[in-house]
Amino acid sequence: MNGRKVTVTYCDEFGVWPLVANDLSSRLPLKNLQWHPSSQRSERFIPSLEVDLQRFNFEQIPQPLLSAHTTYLNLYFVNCDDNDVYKNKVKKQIKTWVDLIATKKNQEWLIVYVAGQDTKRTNNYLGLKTSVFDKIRADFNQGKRDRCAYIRIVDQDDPSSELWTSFLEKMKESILASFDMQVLQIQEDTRRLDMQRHMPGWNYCTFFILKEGLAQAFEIMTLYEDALIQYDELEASFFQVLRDKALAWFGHFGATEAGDDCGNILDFKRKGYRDLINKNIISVFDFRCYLFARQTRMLLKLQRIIEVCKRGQLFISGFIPAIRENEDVLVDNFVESWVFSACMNIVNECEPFSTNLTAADPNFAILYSAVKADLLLTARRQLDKLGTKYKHLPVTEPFSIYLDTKVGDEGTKASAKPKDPMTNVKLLEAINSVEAFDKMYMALSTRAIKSYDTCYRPRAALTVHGDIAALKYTRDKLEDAVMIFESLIRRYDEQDWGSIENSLLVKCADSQKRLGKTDQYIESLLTLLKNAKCLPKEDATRYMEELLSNVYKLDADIRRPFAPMFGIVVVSIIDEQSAVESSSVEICIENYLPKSLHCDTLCLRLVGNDPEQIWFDTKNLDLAPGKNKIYLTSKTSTSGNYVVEACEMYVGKLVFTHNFMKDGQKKRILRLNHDVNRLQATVNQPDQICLGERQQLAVRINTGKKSISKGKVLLEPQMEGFSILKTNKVQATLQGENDEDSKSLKLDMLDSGEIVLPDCEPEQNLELLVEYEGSYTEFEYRMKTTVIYECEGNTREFISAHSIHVTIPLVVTETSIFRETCVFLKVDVSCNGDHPVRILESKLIPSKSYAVESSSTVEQWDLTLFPKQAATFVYKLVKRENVDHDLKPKVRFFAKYRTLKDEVEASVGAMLKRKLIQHQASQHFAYVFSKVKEAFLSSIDYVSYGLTDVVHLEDFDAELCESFLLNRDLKTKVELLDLIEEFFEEHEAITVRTIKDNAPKLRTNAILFPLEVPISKVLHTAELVLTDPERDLLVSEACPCTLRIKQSPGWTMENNEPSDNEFYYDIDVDYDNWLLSGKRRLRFTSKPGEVLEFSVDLVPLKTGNLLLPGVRVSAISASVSAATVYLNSAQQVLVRAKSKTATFFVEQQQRFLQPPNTTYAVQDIAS
Amino acid sequence: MSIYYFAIVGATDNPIYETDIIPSSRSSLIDNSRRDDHKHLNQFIVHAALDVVEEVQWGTQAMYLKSVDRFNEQYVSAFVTANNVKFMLLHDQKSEDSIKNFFNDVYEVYIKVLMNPFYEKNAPITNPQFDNRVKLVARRFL
Repeated sequence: MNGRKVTVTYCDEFGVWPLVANDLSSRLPLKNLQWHPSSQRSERFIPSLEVDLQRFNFEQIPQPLLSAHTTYLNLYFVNCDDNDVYKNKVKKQIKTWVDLIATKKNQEWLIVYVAGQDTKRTNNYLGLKTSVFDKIRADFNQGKRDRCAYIRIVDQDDPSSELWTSFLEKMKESILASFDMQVLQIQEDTRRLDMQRHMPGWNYCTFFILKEGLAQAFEIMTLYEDALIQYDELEASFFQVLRDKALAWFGHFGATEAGDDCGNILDFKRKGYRDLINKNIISVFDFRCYLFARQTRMLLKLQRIIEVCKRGQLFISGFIPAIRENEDVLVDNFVESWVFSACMNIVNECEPFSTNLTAADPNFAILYSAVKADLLLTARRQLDKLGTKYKHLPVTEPFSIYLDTKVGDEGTKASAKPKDPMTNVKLLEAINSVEAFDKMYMALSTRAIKSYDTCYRPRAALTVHGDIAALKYTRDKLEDAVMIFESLIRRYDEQDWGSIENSLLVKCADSQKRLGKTDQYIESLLTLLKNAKCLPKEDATRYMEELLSNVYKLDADIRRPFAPMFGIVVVSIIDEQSAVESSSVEICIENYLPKSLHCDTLCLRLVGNDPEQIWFDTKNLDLAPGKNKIYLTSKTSTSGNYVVEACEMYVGKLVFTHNFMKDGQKKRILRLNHDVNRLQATVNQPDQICLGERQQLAVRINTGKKSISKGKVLLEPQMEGFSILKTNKVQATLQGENDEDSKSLKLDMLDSGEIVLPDCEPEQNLELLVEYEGSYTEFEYRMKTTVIYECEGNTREFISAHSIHVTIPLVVTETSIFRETCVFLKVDVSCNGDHPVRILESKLIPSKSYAVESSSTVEQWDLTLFPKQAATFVYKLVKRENVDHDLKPKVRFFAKYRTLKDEVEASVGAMLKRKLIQHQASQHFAYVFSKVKEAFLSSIDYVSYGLTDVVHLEDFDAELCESFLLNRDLKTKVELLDLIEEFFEEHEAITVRTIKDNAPKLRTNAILFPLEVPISKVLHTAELVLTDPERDLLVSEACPCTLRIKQSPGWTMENNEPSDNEFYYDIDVDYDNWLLSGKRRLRFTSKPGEVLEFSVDLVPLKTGNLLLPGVRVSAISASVSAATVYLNSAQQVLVRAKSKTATFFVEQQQRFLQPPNTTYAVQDIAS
Repeated sequence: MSIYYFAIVGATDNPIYETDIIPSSRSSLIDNSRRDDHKHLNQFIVHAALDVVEEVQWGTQAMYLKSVDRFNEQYVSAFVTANNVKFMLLHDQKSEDSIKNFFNDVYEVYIKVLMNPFYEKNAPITNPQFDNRVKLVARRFL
C-alpha cells in the first residue's frame, strides 16, 4: 500500500531466488521480534513485522532526502558446491557485494547459502572444514556475529525447517540491529539540533523533518506508540515555538486554497506536506492539519479510536479561534464548513473500527459513543449557525445560543465584501434547500441522541431533543413539537431547572395554544408561572393574562400545588365576638404572580375527632399580588383540637392544593370553640330523674342570635351498650328569653333517629327529653350531637361530642312498719359517694293503693347531708279504700337536692364566665371551664366547705394551665392564662354567700325514688294480759297471764294456702328478771280475725318496774311475711318485795328516767 | 465576555444555588440583557455536563474533577462533595489552580451552610451571606 515497510534486498547472482522465493515468502511476515534498545528505553516487542523483499540493485540510486530510510537488511543468496569455484569466483563476487553494502549507512547484510538436495552442510573431514559454506563463514564472519545462513532448496523435511528457523532468526537479529543503529543515530542528531534551538538560523522545519524521521522509523517497525510519542513531542515543541513567537518560517496562516474548508483532515497526503515543510513554505493551517493527521494515523493503527475522537474534538475546538482570527481572508463560512467537515471526517473514519471493537468490549461502546456524540453535536451546531445565517432558522434560542457575539458586525462586513462560497457539498446543499437542511439537522441530531443514549448521558441527549423540538416548532410541526416538549419539560421540572424549563415551555405553550389544546396550554402556562422568577416581568404578566382568559375553558380538572406560585400560612383562629361575626380561620396567601387572580372558592380542611373533618371556606375573592389576608368561615360549629390538613383553591376547573401534613412539616393544631353566636346544644342528665323508669337525657338547644328553621337533631351514641330509644314523639319544652312563656311541645322523631326541630326565634331555649338505654354500671356516656339547620338561607351545622355524667348522689332505704290501720314509712336518705348534698325539699308522693295520711309539715329544707350520715323522714300511710289508678303503683319519695360540688362549680363557672365576657373571651369559656374544672376544682374538699361554708381553691398552676391552652395562638394563650391566674388570685377563698350571690338561679336537681310498700301482710296483734291486773305483783310469786294473739283482717291477702296459715309465737324472756312457766314458743294456725289465747305464768325475780317480756309472731313458711304489733311493748309492771319496808335512793331512781328524744338524734349523727 | 457561571447542584440533581460571577474589571462592559440570555445557556451547558461529572466522579478519589466538559470555547469544571453535591463552574480561561482554590473555599462556605440545623439538605440556598462569601471567594481566585 505504501512504502512504509521494512525493506530487505536480496542479491541473487546464482539464480537460486526462484527456488527459495516461495519458501521464504511463506514464512513471512516475521513473528515475535524483540528489540532491546541500546538507549534507555525498555524492551519493545513486535509481534509481527511485514517485510518487503526487493532485488538488490548494484547501481547506487541516491535516496530521496525526504523519504524515510527503509532498507535494513541485505541478503545474498549463494549456491556453490565446488570449493574451487568458490575460491576463484564466488568469493570475489560476495566481497564486492559486502563492500557495497558497507558504504551504506546502518544496513546489515546476511549471506545465505542455499544448498542443494544432497549437499552436506559441513564436511568435517579429519577436522578440516572443507565445505563451501564453512569457507564462506570463515571468510566473511567478523566478530561474534554470524552473518551466514544455510538453507536447503525445496525441502519439505522437518529437520530442514530448523535451518529455516535459524535463518529467520538471523534475519530478525540483523533487522533489529540495523534499526537500533538508525534510531540511535537519529536521536543523536535530533538532540544536537534541539540544543541549537536558540541559535540564530535554527529552523523548526528541519527539526521537524529530522524528528519525524525517527517517528517514521518507529512506524516502519510498527512501533506506533513510539511514533506517536515523537509526534506528540513535535506538537509540544510546536506550541513552544508558537509561544516564543519564533514562527518566522510560517509566513502565512494559509487555508486559502480551494477545498481547504472541507478537505479530509485525516488525509496526510492531501497535499505534499512533507515537501512543503522541507521547502519551508508550509502554512500554519496545513502544518497543524498534517500533524494532526499523522497523530490520528498512529492512533488508528493502535486502534485507539476513542482517543482519536477526543483529540479531534480538542484539535477542532482549539483551532477555531486561530481560524477565526484570519477569517477575513478565508472563504465564506470557512469555520462552519471546516468544523463540520472535520467532525464528520473523524466520525466516518472511526465508525468502521468501532463495530469490531464494540463486539470485543462492550465498555468501549459507551466511551466511544460519548466522544462520537460530542463530535456529531459539534457538527450539528455548525448547522445551527448556518441555519440562522441563511434564515432557515430564526435567530432565537436554542439556535442562537451557538452564535458568537460578533455575528452582528460580521454580517455587515460580509455584505460589504462578498467572498467565495465554501466548498462543502453537503452544507451547500443544506443552505440552498430547507428540506435538505432539515433532513441533515434531524439526521445529525438523532445520531447524536442515539450515541448519547448509548453512553448513558441522558441530560446531554435531552438538550439535543430540545433542539429537535425547537426545529419542529419553527417548522410549524406543532404536534410533534408538543410531544417532545412535554416529555422534556417533565424531566427538567423534576429537578427544578427553572430557566431551561421556561425556555422550552415558552415554545411549548405557544404550540399548544395554536393547536387549541386548552388543557395542556393551561398546564404549560401554570408551569411557566411557577418559574415566574426566571421570566421577565412583562412576559410573566402576559402569561398570567393568558391564563386568566383561558382558565374557564378547561375541560377537565387540573390540580396543582400552591408552591411556588402561592405561599400559604395559617395565621390563627379568630373567634372573638367583637372581631368577627362567626368563628374564622385567618390565613395568609402570598401571591407571587404578577397579577391578581380571581378565585371562586378557597377552602381549608381541618381534621380531628367528631367530626373527622371540617371545611372552612370563602367564595369569590381576588388574590392581589403579594400578601392577602383572608378569613375563612365554616358552616360547622364544633369544638376540639383540629389539625390543619389541606387547602384547596378553585379557579374554574383549576384547583390549587396544598397539603400541610407532608413529612417533616410541623403539624398546625387549632383549637376550635363552638361559635357563641350560633346555635348551641348540650346534652345532660335531666333536672328531674325518676328512678325505676326509662332513663332520659336532656338535650338543650340555644338558638343563638339568629332564628333558625328546618332544624334536625341527630344523637349518635359513641359507646357500646348505649343507645337512644326510637320513639315517635319526643317531649320538648320551648322557652323564650324570658322565663315565663315556656311551652310544651311534641317533636317528631324520624326513622333515621333525627328529631325534627320547630322553627325558632333567636335566643330561644329548647329542651328535649330523649330516652336512652344504657348499662346501670356506667356513669359516663359518650355521645355525638349533630344539629343541622338553616339560618338566613345557609345550611349550618353544629357538631359536638359530649360525655354525659349520669350520677345519683343520694341513696334511699325505706322501712315500713305496719299497724292495725296504717303503715309508717321510714325513709333513710344518705349520700352516694363522697360529696355532701344539700337536701332542699322532700315529700312522699302517694301511690294508687296508699294515701299519705300525715307527714312532716315542713317540706322545704336546707339540710346538708354529709357522707356516712343519714337523714330520716317518716310518713304515715293509709291504705286507700278505692284504688286510685291514676297514680303509680309505688309510693315515691321526692327529693330536691343540690350537691355542694354543683353549687361551687356553677358559681365558679358563672364568675369565670363573667370575667371572660368582660375581656371579650367568652367563646373560650366552655373549653376553659371544662379544663379548669378538671384541673383545679376536682380536689376541693366539699366536706369542709359544707362545715365551714368557705371554699378554698387550689393554688394556680400556670404550667398545667398552659398545657391545655397549647393549641391557641400566643396572644390568646397569654391573655387567657392571665385571666385565669387573675381569677384564681381574686377568688382564693369563696364563701357560701359569694356563691349564692353569684349564682342566684342555681339549678337544683330532683330525684324520685320509687319505694316498695307491701300492700298485704299477715299482721298479728299480740297482747299479754295479766289475769288479775288489780293485784300487786310480788317477787317470786307466780302471776298467771294470757297471751292473746289476733290476726288482723285489714292486711290479709285473699287467697291463702293452708300451709301459709301456720305461725309460731316466741316470748322473749329476760331470765334475769323473769321466769316463764308455760310454752315459750308455740306453733299454731290462725285465720284472719281469729283470736287465739295461750296461758302462761310469769314469775318476777326482781323488784321494781320490770319490762314485760316481748312477744313476736312469725310465719313458718318463708314466703309469708308476717309482722307483729305487740301491745305490751315497753310496758312495765311494778313488782313489790314481800317485805313492807324498803330504802330508795333518789340518785339511783334517776337512772330509770326516760332519756329525752333529742339525744337520740345526736347519737345518730355520731354513728 | 468572560463571565463565570457558578452553580451548585444538589444530590437530587436540582440546582440549589446559581450565580454569575463577573470580574469586577469587566462588569461595566456587560449589559444586563445579554446576561439573561446567558443564564439560560449556562444552565443548559452545566446541566448537560452533569452527565460527564457522573461518569468521572467514580474514577477518581479527588473531589476536584478538573475540567469535565467543554462547550465551544468554554470549560466546565466540577467539584463533587461527600454527599454528592456538585459544584459546577463554567469558565473560559483554564487555570486549574485558581479554580481548585475557588472550589475548596466555596466548599468550606458550603459546609457552614450545611451546619445550619435549619438548612435542609438539597434545598435551595437562599442565604445572602453565602452569596456574598461565594462572590468574595470568586473575586479572590477568579
